[in-house]
Amino acid sequence: MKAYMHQAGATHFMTQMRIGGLEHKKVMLSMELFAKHVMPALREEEAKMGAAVVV
Amino acid sequence: MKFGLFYLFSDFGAIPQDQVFNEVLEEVEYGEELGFDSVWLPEHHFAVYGMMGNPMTMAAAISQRTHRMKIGTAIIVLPFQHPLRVAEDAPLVDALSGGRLLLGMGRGYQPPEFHGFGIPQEDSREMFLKSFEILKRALSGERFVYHGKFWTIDEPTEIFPKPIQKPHPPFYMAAISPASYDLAAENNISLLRSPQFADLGTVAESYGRYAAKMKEWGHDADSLDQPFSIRTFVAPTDEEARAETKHVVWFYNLLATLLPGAPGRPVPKSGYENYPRDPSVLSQITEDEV
Repeated sequence: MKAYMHQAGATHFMTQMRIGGLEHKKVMLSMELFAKHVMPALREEEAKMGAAVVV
Repeated sequence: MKFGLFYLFSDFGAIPQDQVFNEVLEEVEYGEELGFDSVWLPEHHFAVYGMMGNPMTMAAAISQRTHRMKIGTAIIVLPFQHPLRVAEDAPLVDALSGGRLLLGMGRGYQPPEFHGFGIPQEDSREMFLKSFEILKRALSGERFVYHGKFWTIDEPTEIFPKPIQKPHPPFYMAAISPASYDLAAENNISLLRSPQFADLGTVAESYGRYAAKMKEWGHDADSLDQPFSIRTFVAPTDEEARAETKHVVWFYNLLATLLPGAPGRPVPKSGYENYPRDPSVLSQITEDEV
C-alpha cells in the first residue's frame, strides 16, 4: 500500500470504510483495527523507504 | 503519512436516512480519538449514492463534535452554486472549526446532477474556472465587481466573515483529466485523487505531469498535502471481511448507473474524455473481484 501511495505521489491516505450499507459497529471496529495495525505499519514502511517529507 | 476518513452518505436502505448522519458523526468523533488527521465530505445530488447536497452543512456539525482534525470538502461542485455563496460558507465553517477547513473543489461528473439543476454539463470546466476566479477574489477579502458569462456582481461586493486561515483555507482540486491537473499546477493547489476512474499507472503518470508543471510555475508538488482516496475495510478475519463485499458491489453497481455514458446518460460533447468509456464494466464487478 505504501508503494502504491509513493508511486502516486500521495502523502495523505484518505479512506472510505463506510461503503454501501456496511453496519456502523463494523465500521467502528474497522477504524479501530486500521488505527492499531495498519497506520503503524504504513508509517514504518514510510520510514524504511525514506519517503518524501510529509507536510 | 497522514490519514483521513472519507464519507459518501449513501442510502443502502437498511436504516432510516437520518440515522446515517448520526452514526457518521459518532464515527468521526471516534476517528479523531483514534488518530485520524482529517475527514472529507463530498457533494452529491438526486441519488441515494450520496445524500449530501451541501457538505458545508455537515462540516459545520462536525466542527462542533471534533477539536483537532481537519475538515475537508471532497468536493464542492462549483458549477452548481453561486461562487459568493461558497465564499461565505467556507469562512463560516473556518470560524466554527477554529481554522480547520480544507476547501476541495471540482466541476462535477454525474449527468443527473447537471440535469436536475438545468446546467449544461459541457460548460462545467468553464464554469469551474470562472467560479474559482470569483471565489479566490472574494476569499482574499477584496471588494470587487465582476462581469462574466455565468455570474455578474454589479456593485462593489465583499464577503463576511473573512476566513481565519490566511490568505484562505487551503485549496484542493479534484483531478482526473489532464486539463484539471494543469489548472491545479498553475494555481499551486493540492490534488484530490482516487484510482477509481483510472488505473494506478495513469494516476502516477498524471502526477508526474503535474509535478513538472508545478516546477515550471515555480511551485513544489511534493511540498503540498497530497491526499489519495482508497477504500479499505479491516475485519478480525479474512472471512469476516469477505462477508461485507456485497456492499462494495452495490456501490459500484449504483455508480455505473450515474456516470457519463451509462444507459440513458449520453457522454457530454466535451470535457469528459478521461472517464471510463464503458461504465457497464462497473456494473459487472463481482464479490470475488472485490
